[in-house]
Amino acid sequence: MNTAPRVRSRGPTILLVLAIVLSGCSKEDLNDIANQVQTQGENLVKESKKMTDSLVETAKEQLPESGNMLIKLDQPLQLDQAVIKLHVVGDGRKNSMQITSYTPGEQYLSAPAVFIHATTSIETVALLGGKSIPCNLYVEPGAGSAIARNKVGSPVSLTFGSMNMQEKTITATIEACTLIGSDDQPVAVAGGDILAVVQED
Amino acid sequence: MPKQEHTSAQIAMPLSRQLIAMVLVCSVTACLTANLHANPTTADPDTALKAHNTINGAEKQIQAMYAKFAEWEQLVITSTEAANAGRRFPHSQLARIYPETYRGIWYAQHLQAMGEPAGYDLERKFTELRKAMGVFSPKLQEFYAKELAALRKNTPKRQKTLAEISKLVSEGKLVEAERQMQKIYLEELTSIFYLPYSQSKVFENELSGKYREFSNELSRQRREQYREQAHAKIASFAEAVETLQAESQRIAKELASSPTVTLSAGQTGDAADAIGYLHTLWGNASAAISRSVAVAWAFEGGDLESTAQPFSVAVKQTESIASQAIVEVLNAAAKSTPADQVASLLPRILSELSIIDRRRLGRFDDSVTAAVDQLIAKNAALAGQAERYVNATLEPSRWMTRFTAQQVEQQLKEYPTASNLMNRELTAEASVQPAIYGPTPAQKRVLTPGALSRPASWLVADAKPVIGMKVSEAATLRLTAASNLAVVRQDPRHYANLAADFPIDAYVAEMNESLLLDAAHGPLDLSSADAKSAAERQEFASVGGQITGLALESFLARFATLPDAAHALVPLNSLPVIDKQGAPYDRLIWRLNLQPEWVAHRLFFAKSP
Repeated sequence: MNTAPRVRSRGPTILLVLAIVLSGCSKEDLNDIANQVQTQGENLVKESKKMTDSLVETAKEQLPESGNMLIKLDQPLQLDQAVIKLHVVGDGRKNSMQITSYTPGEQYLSAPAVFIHATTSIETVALLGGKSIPCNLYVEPGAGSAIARNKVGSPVSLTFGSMNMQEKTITATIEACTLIGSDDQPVAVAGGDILAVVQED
Repeated sequence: MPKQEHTSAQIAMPLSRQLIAMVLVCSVTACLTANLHANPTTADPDTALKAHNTINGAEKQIQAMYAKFAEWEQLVITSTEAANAGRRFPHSQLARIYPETYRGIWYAQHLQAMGEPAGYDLERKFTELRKAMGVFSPKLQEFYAKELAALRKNTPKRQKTLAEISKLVSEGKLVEAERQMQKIYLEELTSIFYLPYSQSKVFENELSGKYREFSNELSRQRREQYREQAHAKIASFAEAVETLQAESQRIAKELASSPTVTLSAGQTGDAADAIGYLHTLWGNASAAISRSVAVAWAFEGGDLESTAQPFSVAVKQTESIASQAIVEVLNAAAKSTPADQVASLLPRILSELSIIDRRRLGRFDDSVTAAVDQLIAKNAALAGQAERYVNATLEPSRWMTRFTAQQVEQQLKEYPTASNLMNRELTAEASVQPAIYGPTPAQKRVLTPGALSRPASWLVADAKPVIGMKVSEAATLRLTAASNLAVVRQDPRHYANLAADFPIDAYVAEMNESLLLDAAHGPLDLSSADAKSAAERQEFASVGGQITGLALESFLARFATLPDAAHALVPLNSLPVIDKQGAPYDRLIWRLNLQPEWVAHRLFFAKSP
């Protein structure tokens, strides 16, 4: 198992943001669209998705981003993958936002691994931008170690940055919190940072 | 086939009459008011072992005999104390009781022929009491001459009776021979009580020797007669299986042309209700098969496994009928339910299936899941939702399961499994075994044994140190949605009872949220339906807590009298699991009352606040 922390340069991200701006769609425009979508519902959600897709087309030649995660435990936990997926079942049912430190649905999980999820009425990852939502956070620091999670009824707040439409990534920060281990021991988390790749259906 | 001079019912009658005589000896009439349905418990160890009462009247006799035994034992205890202290003791009363200990043994043996495990307990108790009464004779020397003279004087009558008995035996009239034998025997035992064995043995041996010449044959004949009577009960499961089959066919047929169908008591219901109804009928059939195999074990000699074989076949047939019926109901529902109603029907169907699934061994076969898929496919939008739902709930379920599994693993360090604890050798506190029976074994021993090796009342009372101990148990099942009682299904040595009222609301709320469930949106796959129905019914994957009470039951009586509503004690597709070592009649099953301190659903773990 590769336990060496994977260091990533933030350089390409900045370049990509620039690319979006240069392609004729300003950050303000995107925010506007996002705000309209929030107020006007499903049709606009589709529009937002279309726009996201068209933007992504232009970024195809870039190296694929796999995301990363830093969970600030006593011994910081650095993970070299982060995937965010917004599950929309339909029929007015609530949606499920899920962030995994591995490819979702992977049959065998290898530690360390992190899972964050929240039930939400928001329908696209882009619309999570700038929002804080209460989540359940699971952290498995290493093979054979106790999994820790937030106490039932005490969710952890996750605050999203805005979505990078070209790289299909979104950043999020985890608030400082105390988790509880499956061995009943408290686990202090001095926050966390996530750069997650958006996975779409 | 040996000649039978009485019908089975007639055989039971004289016993009842004799019993009345026995009761009158001590002029106490309260003995039949004892609780007819309880079993000995740590709180009340002297309660009778419950009968299966396959042969009518056994239960009443057992209750009466335990009650009389307790009274006589008490008299022997206080009299022994008085005798040992050199005080006066009521010897003439004891001399009347002494023959009753013999009668108790004979009746106990008759109960054994009726297939009643309590007969073995009673025989042991009366035998021990009879032996303990030997303590009085050395202190009654002034009566030796008189009682010896009485026995000698009776010799011509005894010999004449013995000759008549021999004639009756040669004519095959064993019941009448026994009646005369017991009459003369009881008469002489009052005198024999006073005498040391060295002086009484010549008289007693004359009687016991003759009795032994035909008693085994008589017991064999009785067993045979009672076995014939028991056949009706042994075969009675077939009716429940037939009901399941007939109703399965009717329901599937009616549902194919209409979305609703008539269920029990004229109520109508849809496909989900129909599956619930089939579950009830399957449960009834399962309980009936459990009862039948237990009665068969009580009456058929020989190898337990071969006795069980036809019932194993019945279990498989029943499972096949029920599984096929479920598939047919699902197929019929797919035909007759309007597409727009499938969405509201599906979660309810999945819920019913999940409840059944927890009550059987293994999982539903592919035909059931394929039939569910076919029903879902009827509504394209629903099919898409169901597919997305499976994906959306996969990871939350996985992490909840993993976290819970680790929590349970932690707890199990402090909570050994109940089966394991019950096999451990423990130190008994002071035994309840009365001093008249000699010293109590002091060494460590298994306090909750699986066989009736000492009187049931001693076993259960000596098991008291187990109370308060922490144990874990596997899956709990609610007996009915309406009742608050849950059970842990049986293993050969025990089962458990607990209340299904653990405070889990916060955990259930989080689980529902994680599984995207709310009042308007039910589960769309079997796994989430299982999670939801298990949480609602408090049917946990495991529990841990303190033992708050123990009851001791005869294994055979437990399952021979298993109520339909308690079928969850045994999986729907299995027979009761019995320890195949040793004789079935002395197999015991302990009922643990459990006060949970933690509960583990597949997706969450909750500790008592």
